[in-house]
Amino acid sequence: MPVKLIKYELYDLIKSKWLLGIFFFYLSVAYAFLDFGKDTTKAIISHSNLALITLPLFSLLLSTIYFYNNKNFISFVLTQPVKRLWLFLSIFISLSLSLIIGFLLGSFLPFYYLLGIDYTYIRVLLLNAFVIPIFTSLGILLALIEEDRLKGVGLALLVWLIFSALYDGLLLYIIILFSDYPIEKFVIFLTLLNPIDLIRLTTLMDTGLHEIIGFVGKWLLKYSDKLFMFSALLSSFYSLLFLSLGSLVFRKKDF
Amino acid sequence: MIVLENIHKSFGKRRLFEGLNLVFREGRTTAILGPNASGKTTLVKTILGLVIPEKGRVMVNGKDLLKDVSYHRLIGYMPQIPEFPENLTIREIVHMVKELRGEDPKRLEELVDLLMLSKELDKRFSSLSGGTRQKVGALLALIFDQPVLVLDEPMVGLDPITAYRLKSFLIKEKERGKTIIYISHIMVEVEELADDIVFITEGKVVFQGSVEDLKNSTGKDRLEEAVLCLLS
Repeated sequence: MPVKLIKYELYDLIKSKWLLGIFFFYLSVAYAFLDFGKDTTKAIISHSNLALITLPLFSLLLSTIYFYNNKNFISFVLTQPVKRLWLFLSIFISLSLSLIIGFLLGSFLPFYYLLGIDYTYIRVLLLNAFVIPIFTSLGILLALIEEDRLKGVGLALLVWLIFSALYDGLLLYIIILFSDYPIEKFVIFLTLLNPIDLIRLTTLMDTGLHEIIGFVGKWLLKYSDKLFMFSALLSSFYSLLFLSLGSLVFRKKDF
Repeated sequence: MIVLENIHKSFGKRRLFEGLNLVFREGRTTAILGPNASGKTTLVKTILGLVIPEKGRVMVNGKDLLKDVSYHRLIGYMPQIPEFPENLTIREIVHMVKELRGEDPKRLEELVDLLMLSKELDKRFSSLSGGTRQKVGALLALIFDQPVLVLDEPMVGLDPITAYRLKSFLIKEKERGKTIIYISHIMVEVEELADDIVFITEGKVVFQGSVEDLKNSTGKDRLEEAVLCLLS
């Protein structure tokens, strides 16, 4: 049953202007970074940094707006012989998959066209895609909790701002405030807690640029071969956490 | 038969249903009437399992609707505001619902003709007018020939010709023995269609009985006047 729902929801999403916009956005920025820059590694890092700022935003906005726009459709599906949990999972899977397809396809085509097949950029693109299920499940959760559409979208923007900028600002403040104390391991722990930071660090480690991240890079060097797997695991943990919370709310929600 | 047993539901501090009991008898057409915000749509959504009561049960043919979703197969629902994936065509939406239900629509051609939708079948839902969207809602509620129909203001937004055709269709369905539950504010339509009336205000059932019972108990010949009596 979820497969049938996913098929139609995905088909609808892929035909939407949103996905077309996301596809062309990553297609043009990847091409611009590769064609205008001289250094391939720098182009991969620049594209990854941009993706790690924009993907959480697109995932949060698309999932919250999709949920609000399709509330009546969700109600209609619930009047059919469909289990609530299946419907919830199908929404999450189709939203995540459509974003992953839009991002990966849009980014991969210029990379492949200009560089051919290269393991480094494929690995980095996959790493970046890990953030999509996290922020999609979070976006759905926010839309489920907040009935008011404007407040829901505002909340999504606030969450994006926290993960993308405020969290790092807070870390920096902690580092400066406690600079006289041995807080390196605590700071590393806090850094790894934010999935965006973790994936950014893994990307830098993967492309051999650990020097530019100071003591965190030096420490992570010991675990560089395990970082990809750790990023995948932590991303899955966050996605499952938000997904479980979302499914609890969805099961009891009035439509 | 649909039975609502001891339904309790509140929204925040507002208690809507406190021990609501209702029976919708098989083969009867029941109009749910009441002022705005009286709980009509919430009542219908409770019957459909969209609103989950804090306490109580909704039984369809003796089975708890919230515990077994397969009973949704018996109910055709036409929402007040039909909304479907924007980028799918009507044909694709029909196909999707067919796959979700795991059954073929029995009366597709008949209803496409009745609702004059044949030229619109390959248009995306996003490009349809409000009235045509309403027709799509009616189409999906009726093509599977379910024994129970739940309709939320079915004639609103329809052009007079389609509204007349749909009303005639519903009268025939009623004669075929279907159980129809619907919300309406149009008294002429209620008088033509309904056998029974449930009148609610602020979540409480003020009247449940046949149209004749209502007229007799209020001493009015016209349904509109009888309903006004209930309000005052």
